[in-house]
Amino acid sequence: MNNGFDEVIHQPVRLRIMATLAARPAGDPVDFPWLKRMLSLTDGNLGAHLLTLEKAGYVTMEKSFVDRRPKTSVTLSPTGRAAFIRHVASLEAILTGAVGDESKIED
Amino acid sequence: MSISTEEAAQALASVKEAMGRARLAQSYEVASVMTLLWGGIWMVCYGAGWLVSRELAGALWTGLVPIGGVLTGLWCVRVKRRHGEGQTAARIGEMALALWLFGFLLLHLVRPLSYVQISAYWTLVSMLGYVLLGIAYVRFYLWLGIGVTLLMLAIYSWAGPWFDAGMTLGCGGTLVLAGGWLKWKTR
Repeated sequence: MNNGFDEVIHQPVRLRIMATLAARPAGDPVDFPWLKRMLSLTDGNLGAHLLTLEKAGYVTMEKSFVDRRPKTSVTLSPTGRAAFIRHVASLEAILTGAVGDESKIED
Repeated sequence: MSISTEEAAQALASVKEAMGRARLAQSYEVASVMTLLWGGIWMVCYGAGWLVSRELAGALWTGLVPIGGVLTGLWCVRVKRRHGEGQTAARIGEMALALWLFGFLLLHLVRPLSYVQISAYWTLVSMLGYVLLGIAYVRFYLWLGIGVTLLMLAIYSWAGPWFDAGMTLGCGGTLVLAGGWLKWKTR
């Protein structure tokens, strides 16, 4: 890692998941199917990436039953929001050449 | 791990696109409730004028518009609490209030107007509000405002005795359908 660059977040699908969640108000949960539609992902693909983000402490997942149907809510954690902001800042820094090497960032 | 400037630019573009999509969905979520509420009020009031009497329609407008105003205010408070966008909600509320006051003052100067003229007048004023909302915040409202205005002008010019029916099904129906579409987009 370097200057807030986060390999967990940088994976393209996870980056989009984090961006979508970060656009919501802090602490506002979203339903799994809503997130799936927003990102045009399959259940399995989204579920796997969410698990990775959950292990990193970036999202929390809550399972409940509504009308006897399972419902999964996903929330961006404060740690996740901070990591996302740092990661985006590091990407911007790469573009503006704020990191030592203009074309590459190494860790 | 190394990343080139091109990859960084691509990642940032992807972030921008995903956040824009989520914010648009959020604004649709907020707007859908208001569009359904006011579309419903239009349909009930003009429907009463069409199916029962214009006197009843007048009474319903007098009763339902303040109720709609209160519900809109409560919805803005809820949006502020949930989304923390108090400034935007307050600005929209101020714009709506200014438009209503302008509408009342202008009506005071140009009256007396017939039932049909007053209906067309308030449609123009409220759709101007939608257009302004569309220019400032949610682009969809710009097209909705223009669409309902054009529809109303057509009904005003050509519907004759079917004015209330046209306003119920055409304008009220368009608002309800638009609200339903926004709701469906964010389901």
